[in-house]
Amino acid sequence: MKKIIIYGFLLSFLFSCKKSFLEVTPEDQLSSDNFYKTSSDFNTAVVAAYSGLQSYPSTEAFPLSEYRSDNLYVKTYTTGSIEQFQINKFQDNSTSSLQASAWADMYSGIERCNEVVSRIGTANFSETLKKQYDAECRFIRGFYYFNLVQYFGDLPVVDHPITAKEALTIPRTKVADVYTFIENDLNIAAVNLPAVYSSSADLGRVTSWAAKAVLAKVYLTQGKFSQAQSTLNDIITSGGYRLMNTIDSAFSVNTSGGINNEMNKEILFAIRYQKSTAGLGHSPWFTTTDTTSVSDINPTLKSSYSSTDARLRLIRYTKNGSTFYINKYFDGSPDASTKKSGSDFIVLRYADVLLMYSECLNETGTLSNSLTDPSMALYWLNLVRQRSNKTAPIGIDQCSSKDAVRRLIVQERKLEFTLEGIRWFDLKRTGLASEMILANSGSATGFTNPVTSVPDYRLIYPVPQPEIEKINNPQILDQNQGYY
Amino acid sequence: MNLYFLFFHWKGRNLTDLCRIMKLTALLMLIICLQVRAAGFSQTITLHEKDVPLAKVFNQIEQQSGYTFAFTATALRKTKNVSLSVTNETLVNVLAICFKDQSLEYTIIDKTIIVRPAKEVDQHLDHIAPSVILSLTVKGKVSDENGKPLADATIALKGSSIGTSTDVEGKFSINIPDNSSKILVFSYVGRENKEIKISSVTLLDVRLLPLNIQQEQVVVVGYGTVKKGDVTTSVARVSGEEIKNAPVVNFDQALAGRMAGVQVLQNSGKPNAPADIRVRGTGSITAGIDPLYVVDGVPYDRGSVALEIVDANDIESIEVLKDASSAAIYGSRGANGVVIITTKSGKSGKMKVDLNAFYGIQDVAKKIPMLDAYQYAAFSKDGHDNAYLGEYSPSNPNNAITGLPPSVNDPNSVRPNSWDKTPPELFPYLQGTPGLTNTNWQDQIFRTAPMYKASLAMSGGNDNSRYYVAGNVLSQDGIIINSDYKRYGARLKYSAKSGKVKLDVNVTPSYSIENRVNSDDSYNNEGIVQAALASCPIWPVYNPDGSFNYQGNGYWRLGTDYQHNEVINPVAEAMLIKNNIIHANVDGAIALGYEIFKNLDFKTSGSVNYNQYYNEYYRPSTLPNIGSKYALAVDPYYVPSNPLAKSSSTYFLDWVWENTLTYKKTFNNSHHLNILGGFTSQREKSKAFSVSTTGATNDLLPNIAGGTSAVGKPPYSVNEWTLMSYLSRVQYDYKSKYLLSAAIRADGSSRFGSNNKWGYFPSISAGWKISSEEFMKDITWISSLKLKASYGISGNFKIGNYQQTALLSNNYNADFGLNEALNQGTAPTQFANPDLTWEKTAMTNLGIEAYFLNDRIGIETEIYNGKTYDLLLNLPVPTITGFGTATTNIGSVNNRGLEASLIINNPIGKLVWRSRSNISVNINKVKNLGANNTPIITTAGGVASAYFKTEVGQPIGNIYGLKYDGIFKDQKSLDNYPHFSTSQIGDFKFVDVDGDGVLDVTKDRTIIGNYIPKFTYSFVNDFIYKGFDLSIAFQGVYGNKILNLSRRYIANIEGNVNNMTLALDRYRNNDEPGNGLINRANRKSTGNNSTISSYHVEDGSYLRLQNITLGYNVASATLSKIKVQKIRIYVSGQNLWTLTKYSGYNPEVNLYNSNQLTPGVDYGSYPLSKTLSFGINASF
Repeated sequence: MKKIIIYGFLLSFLFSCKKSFLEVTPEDQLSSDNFYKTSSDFNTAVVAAYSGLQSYPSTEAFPLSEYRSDNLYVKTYTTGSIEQFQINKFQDNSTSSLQASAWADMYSGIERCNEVVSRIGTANFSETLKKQYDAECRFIRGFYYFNLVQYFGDLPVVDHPITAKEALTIPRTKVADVYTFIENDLNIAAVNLPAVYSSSADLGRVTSWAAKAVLAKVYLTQGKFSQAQSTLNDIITSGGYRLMNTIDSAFSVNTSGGINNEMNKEILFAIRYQKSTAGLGHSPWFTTTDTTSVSDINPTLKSSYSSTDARLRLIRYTKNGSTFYINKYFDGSPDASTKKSGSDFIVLRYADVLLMYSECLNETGTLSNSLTDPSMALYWLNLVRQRSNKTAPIGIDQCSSKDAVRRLIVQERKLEFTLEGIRWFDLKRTGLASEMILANSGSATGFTNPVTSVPDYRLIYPVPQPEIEKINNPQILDQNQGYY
Repeated sequence: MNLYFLFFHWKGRNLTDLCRIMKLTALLMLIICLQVRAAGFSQTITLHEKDVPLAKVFNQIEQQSGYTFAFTATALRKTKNVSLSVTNETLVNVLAICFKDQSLEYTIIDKTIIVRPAKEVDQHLDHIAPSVILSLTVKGKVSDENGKPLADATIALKGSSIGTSTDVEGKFSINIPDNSSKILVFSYVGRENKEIKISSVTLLDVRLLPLNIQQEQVVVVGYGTVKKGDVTTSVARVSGEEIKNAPVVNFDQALAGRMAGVQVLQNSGKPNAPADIRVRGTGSITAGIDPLYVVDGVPYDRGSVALEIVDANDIESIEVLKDASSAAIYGSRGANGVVIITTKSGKSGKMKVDLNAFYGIQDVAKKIPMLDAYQYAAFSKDGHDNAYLGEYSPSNPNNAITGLPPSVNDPNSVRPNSWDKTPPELFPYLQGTPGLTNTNWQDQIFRTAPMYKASLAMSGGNDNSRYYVAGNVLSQDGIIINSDYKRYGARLKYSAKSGKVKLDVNVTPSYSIENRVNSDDSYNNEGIVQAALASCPIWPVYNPDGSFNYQGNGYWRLGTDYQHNEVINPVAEAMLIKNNIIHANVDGAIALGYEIFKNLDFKTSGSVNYNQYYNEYYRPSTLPNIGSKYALAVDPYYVPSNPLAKSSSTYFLDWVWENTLTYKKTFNNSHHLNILGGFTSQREKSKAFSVSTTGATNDLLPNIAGGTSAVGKPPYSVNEWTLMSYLSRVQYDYKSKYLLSAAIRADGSSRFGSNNKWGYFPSISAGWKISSEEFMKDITWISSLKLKASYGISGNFKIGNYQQTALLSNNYNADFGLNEALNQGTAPTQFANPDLTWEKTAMTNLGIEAYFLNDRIGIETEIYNGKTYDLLLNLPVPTITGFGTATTNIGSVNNRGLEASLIINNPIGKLVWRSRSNISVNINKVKNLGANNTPIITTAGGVASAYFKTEVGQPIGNIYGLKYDGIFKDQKSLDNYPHFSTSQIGDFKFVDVDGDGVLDVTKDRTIIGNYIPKFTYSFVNDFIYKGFDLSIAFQGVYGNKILNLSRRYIANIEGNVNNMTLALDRYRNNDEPGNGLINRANRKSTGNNSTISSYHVEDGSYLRLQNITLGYNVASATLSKIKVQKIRIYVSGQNLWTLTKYSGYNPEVNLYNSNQLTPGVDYGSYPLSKTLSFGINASF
């Protein structure tokens, strides 16, 4: 008896060493312990990465790009719009919540991509699918970093899921190296993604052409014109994309009710929305009211369009109920109860490919005033321009210099891509930011509260102050020069 | 035949007779049960014999006295015949005659007179069967602490039915059979029992000390016991005896004010509502703050279960481990204190039957004085008038219709806005028409409610096996209509011993049925109490046809919207909504002990706790929804609702397995060593789901079967945690003079992150009993003096399950394809947190215990300083992680305090006066809230301006709002002080806290109170005189502040709902400024009067007569006739009187008691009852 009990006692200690007793997995919610295994698991994880993009227009494109550029103009501010005002007037500082939200939003999207990219290698299912999922997430991750680096400069590059502790140890990577990282992601994506998905149910997932188009833009942004040019050429010659006949049909703008032209042949990549499903519709990204509006389309932008330009209508408003919807993103019938729209946000369309190509040709080629030579910049410029504005092509008398052509292209891009989150990056890329902003929003305009100066340091945003405080180590995360 | 031969046949004699005999002979007394048995024997012996054999005389005596002779044939062989002639002579004297000149001696054991040869005892030892015969006689005296003899003190031989009592001189004599326990138990009413082990024939001088202060009292400290005098940590103890009087449902309520440093907060009077027990302040901000409950060694993390399954009558003692040193033996669960409950066990001896029962009548302890219908009508009109007058200003002086300045006499027809108008139903009241409907809504929802409770326990056993079987039934009607609670419980305990093996079984099944009403909420959410207060007194409860009247629910908003708030008839809400909870519980524990070596014991115990809750809710169609759109202009004034039914079920399954080794040894009679080692593991799992249906067209099936469609996705949750621990403790003392104890526990928990799976909780404590030193021997006025000090670390693992796990959600969708089909996406929602760990409390405790004048006066004082650190806070993290916040162990809170008790034991002749007074002071201070120490600002009750702020340097949960400073009494005071632009004369004056000359609802917020009291105190006095006992217990709290959100309505002075009578003191005009504290009536209140400010904060200090009980013990002489050992009848009053300035029902209210950040909110809650009860305690 004595021995039995003593042995029993000792046995109990052995039992106690069983480690799994202290590992309890939740049964009513998913945990990473029982996830990231099957192809279905990874598919839903990739879907979540796409899902994250749905905040891109409202959190990044509009507040940080459109308000910063000369597309929008904020007359004055109310309590709720002071930060938009400050961004618009180049008076923002590091405590702005808009930059903080964008920073957090993009890194949150990157986190979802990292979960897939870092885990999929060891998963056990079809290699083709694994490559595709990995590539989709690398595309999205590359896209986020491309935005981040243009907004904030040097960045902490996070390429795998990290803990809060690890976050304190990741220093900023120089801009050039961030671009290398982005190029790598996008190159892998361009190689591994399908050109077209075999199932029409996958329409909207990123393709290799989309990856190439973004990659081309990354090259272009770095001034790697020849690489950009050859990538763009590839898209133009074999991508199967085309300009839609009218700008309206490119945007599925509902003119008479009922056309659904989303994911048309002009679109390389769009963030998709659907108004009838809860959580998948979007509120107007930019709106105004008749009289009391404090922010509006910059009057100089409106006056840049010729009255015959079909694109002018897209930056005007349609009133529906008590809400003003900007025509570019108005699908004609917002959901009756939620007031949400289902129009997609086009990230990259063929017109951009053509205008980028035009830019490359101008930068690398010879100056020419030929409007018919496809190796000349003006050919592509007018291809895009004349779709919407049938008046005589421009450029013959204006291409006195590469710089003059560059300005023509930038101007055309402005008219073409208004409210698509593109203008600010164009201004930065071409070095025209200060000049254009001061011309269109500055004191010369005679508007209330003009922009007085656009110092160089303001070409990137301040790092959100809360992030600096949380890291609390200037060796790891310091403030961008010029900001306090 | 060399056999001793015994006969045990009992015969009747008179009890009183026997008593006299015993007193005269100073020989022997019977224990109580035998006294009962003996009833009917004659008192004396009458014998007339001449020269007869002794055996014959013995036979005669047996027949008359009921005593039995035991002797061997050889013993009587050499005896002489005897002659005697006695009439009504005592047994002893008769025996004296019989044994005169005989070579015999005798002893009386029990009712057996053992006869043996006088000298040859030793030689015969070999032949004596080791059964009953050999004995030693113990004589002595029992006295009180001053040496005064105690008459009628009981002396019993432990583990047998042998016993006696003292005579008037306190003297006794008792024979102890050789094979018995040799432990004498001395007892006397109102005094501590004393056990003395007898090793040889002795003359004893026994002093019985008054109850409570006995240093030999055993205190349960978790995985063991220790003598009270040897305790070196902070442990409070209440015996079951002390709380038996309180007519309460659960024992926790009876603990209020009994222990220093242990706050028992009864924040709701709901039937079966558990009290909150807070040990030495609040140590956590986001984790649980309830103590750990341990019932008979089994830890219960859900205290409500422990409270429900333990019948107060079954309680032997309750100990509360207060400091981290004592609680460290419970490791990661000790930081909020540990409440250890020990239930009674069977004792060796005949079956003892205990019956405890009471019947009580409950009434609401307080009603809030509200305006009656006539006062309300005048008040409401005043509100409408002022709204009307307020619309005109110097730039807009005249009424557009009349063209004249507005006047309170203007009829509704000329008033521009609907809210300027007085509802016409009030006109008769304004005219003073007598006999109109004047409903006192509080009287309608409260009732006089009976309750009863009965417990029956049977216990007994012998040296080898014991049992305690008890059952109880409880029925309590709530003081709010349609609320009640019934419970049936049992406790079955059995223990057996065979050689070195010991077995203990403890099974506790219970079952309860509770009908709830929604009492604790604002009336907008159908809170009945607040609805009764807010309801307009001019509406009747019932329509003439007997149906409920719903005019209060928006009748005055139809057509002309007078803007009186919609309130559903609270009586209808209480009566029509069904909310029933059934709770079945089974607890079972088996423990096996084994003595491996002489001083080494092994114990393994397994216990299982299974709880099943089933809740059914039904809201019938006949009850309208709240709001004017559910009102009608004609009787029955309501639109039926869509009925809602809900069923939910939860189960908990919890098992614990504990193994301990105990080594106990005394060296050289002076070194006492006690070593404990153990291993335990525990797992709890619960599952819950709930289904709601709606759409039934009638109320014929008042449950989920009646509905036509389910409401939403049925909630479902699973929770599970595991805990594995090693524990060890060493206790050492030298001659009970120098005491040392050290313990360590290691806990591994599923709740902790992988990098911190195991936590270690060490503790050490030491004590010095100065009074045991030689140099103190002469200082007789100090009876005991002890210094103690302890330090330990305990933990709080109530940080929630799965906090360390990376969790994902399926809610991140996107759409693809031509048809834009939904694709489900899954993404992480919560970090993996491998560093997550328990919260820790390190506490130092210093104490002094001193008793004087033979323990007549005692003082126990302790000071402590506890730092709780690694508090779990949800803090911002670098967002490059992909997440905004993560729970991090970072904060810290300090609790410092002082506890003092004064104990008085003062027997004055036959009157025993015992008194215990406690005072506890605890200072709570937040020390760290993370890297930036960002204050945590939250709101309570969904009220936007009801801010609470927790910040460094302040106690947890400060109320944070505007500081109210009376009202602006005149234009001058309005002009001379910063005010809101809308403020008018008669509106609140708020303090310009930041002094910038501008009042701002955000910037001028400041700390306006905290629920944590400055100190708490109590005094309990017990008096025993002859058969009577009187107990009076007061307890009080000083300096706690309550955020009385109910005042948003019932003291808003707007006239849209009923108000407290304080509205009568309102500002009316310059000539009638009221008391200067209550603002002007105004339906369109101006000047931010309704913003939460210190106007809504009240002092919750109180002094309460917690319990008063008068009992009477029926005299034993009477009892013996009905064969009952003890009967005590009592009358008891619980919560009869409270002295407080608090205007609400209960100054202990804490509506959101699970959220430490918003403590002390009153927003409608179930009031406390006062109970008058009659009870009986009987033993057979």
